[in-house]
Amino acid sequence: MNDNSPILQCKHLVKSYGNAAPVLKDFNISVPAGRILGLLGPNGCGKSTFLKLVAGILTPDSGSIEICGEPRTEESNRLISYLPERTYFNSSMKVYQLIDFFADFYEDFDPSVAEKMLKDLDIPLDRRLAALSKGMKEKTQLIMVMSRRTRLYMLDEPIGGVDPASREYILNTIIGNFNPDASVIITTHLIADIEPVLDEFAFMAYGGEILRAGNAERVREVTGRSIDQLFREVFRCSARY
Amino acid sequence: MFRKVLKHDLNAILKIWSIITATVLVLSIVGGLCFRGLNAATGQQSQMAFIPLYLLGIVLSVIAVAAYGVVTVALIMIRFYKNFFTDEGYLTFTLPVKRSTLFNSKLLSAFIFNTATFLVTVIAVTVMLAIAPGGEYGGSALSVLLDSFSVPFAAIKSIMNDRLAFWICAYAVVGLAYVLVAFVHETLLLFCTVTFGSILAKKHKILTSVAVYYGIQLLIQTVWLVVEGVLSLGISAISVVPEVLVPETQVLWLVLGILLFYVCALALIASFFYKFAVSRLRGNLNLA
Repeated sequence: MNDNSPILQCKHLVKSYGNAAPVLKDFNISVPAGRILGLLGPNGCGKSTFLKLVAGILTPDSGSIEICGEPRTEESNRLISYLPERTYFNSSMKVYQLIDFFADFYEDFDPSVAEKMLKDLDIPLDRRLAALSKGMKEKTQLIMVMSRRTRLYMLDEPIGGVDPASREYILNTIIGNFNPDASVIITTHLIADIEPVLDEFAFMAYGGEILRAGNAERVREVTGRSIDQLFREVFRCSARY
Repeated sequence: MFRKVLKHDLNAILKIWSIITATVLVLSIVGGLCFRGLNAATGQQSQMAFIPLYLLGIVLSVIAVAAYGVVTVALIMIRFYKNFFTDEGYLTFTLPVKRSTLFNSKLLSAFIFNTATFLVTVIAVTVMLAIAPGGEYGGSALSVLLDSFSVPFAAIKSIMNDRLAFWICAYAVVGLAYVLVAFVHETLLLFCTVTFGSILAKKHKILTSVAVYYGIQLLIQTVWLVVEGVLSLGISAISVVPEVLVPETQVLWLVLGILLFYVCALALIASFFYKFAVSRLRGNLNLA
């Protein structure tokens, strides 16, 4: 592993589903260490597809994915903590069994951090996941993913199903639980909610084209507008979008 | 990592399988007792009312023992499908574990449960027969069954003659190998078809998998029919044409050779299924 290389580097990624037009066409991105990147774009522009490719859930048609300077393999999963946009745990498991499961497979998983966060959000450890509400399930998933000490966190719509009262806690959790050597990629439609935690942003159009990207703070200073406002301007409903 | 994956795979099925196994064993005892009760009640006017109850008990126990293996396979396949090709796959395939390791663990746990199910089925049938009466022959149904084998056993023993221990060992080893390879082959066929069907289809993955299963079965059965036809012709020639008549010990060698051929053929097909399924998981995984 090369410590100077970006945490994630994708070159010329192409991905299509069946015979349809490619969701990602020649997609390129580089994510340095210690940054929180907001990957923002309209529905169907390929944000989730991109995260799935990096997580290994999908196989790219062509192009390369490097994690910490090494080509992506099954072993790369040690360096990635991925939260998909759906409930993906076995619903017959109890919450404490989930903690044991993560502790079994991920050396960097800290059960005490997970237990504290679950307690803070009033999620009972002895409850089956099937018995939890959708919002509680999503919180549990996010807690599991953020209780690892890894290099790359990928959060697909992490606060979509969470009540506004818990969002602040979750966003603080995201900031507080990753180390400076790590990076976070967040995709969401709730830009105003996550804007305060973003270091970088990238506006992604259909086909994976990056329309605009940069440092969130600098762009706010230069344009005098928030990322949310900028997003609304760039993606204002038109013939193109 | 393999041990961890295997531990979770075994635990996921163990609880429900244990409950089903206990039920089957209890029902096998109930079935045996019902056979005994039916035997005693037949012709007894005072116990006629119990006969439907005994019959129900027998039917239930026989169905339970017969369905036991199918239920075990269903449990294994549900675990395989859910773990790999539903939303649970998002967890399975983001674990820091090689896909071949995930697959091998599923294969070994399936083998363990299938073997255990086979042994429990033998025990359940034995228990049922040991309790059930032997009817006009007296004793238990089990002793009657074992007695019925004594004549063919004696005939085989006389053929094996002075090399009895050798032939018993040879057939035991090849027979065991056949059973083990057959278990693995059948499991891999199911895994392979579910993998192929799930990767091939965007919707109706299970339906596609069933279609793929029957497609592959049709192909395999056709090839087997040809192979068995050729083998049958060879054996017929030995028994019909006087010039090729061979001593009985050579027939033992021939049957052993055929069994070995089946073992090798099944192992070869199973290895193809294995390679195919693992390579699809590595190179073509596209979860919805």
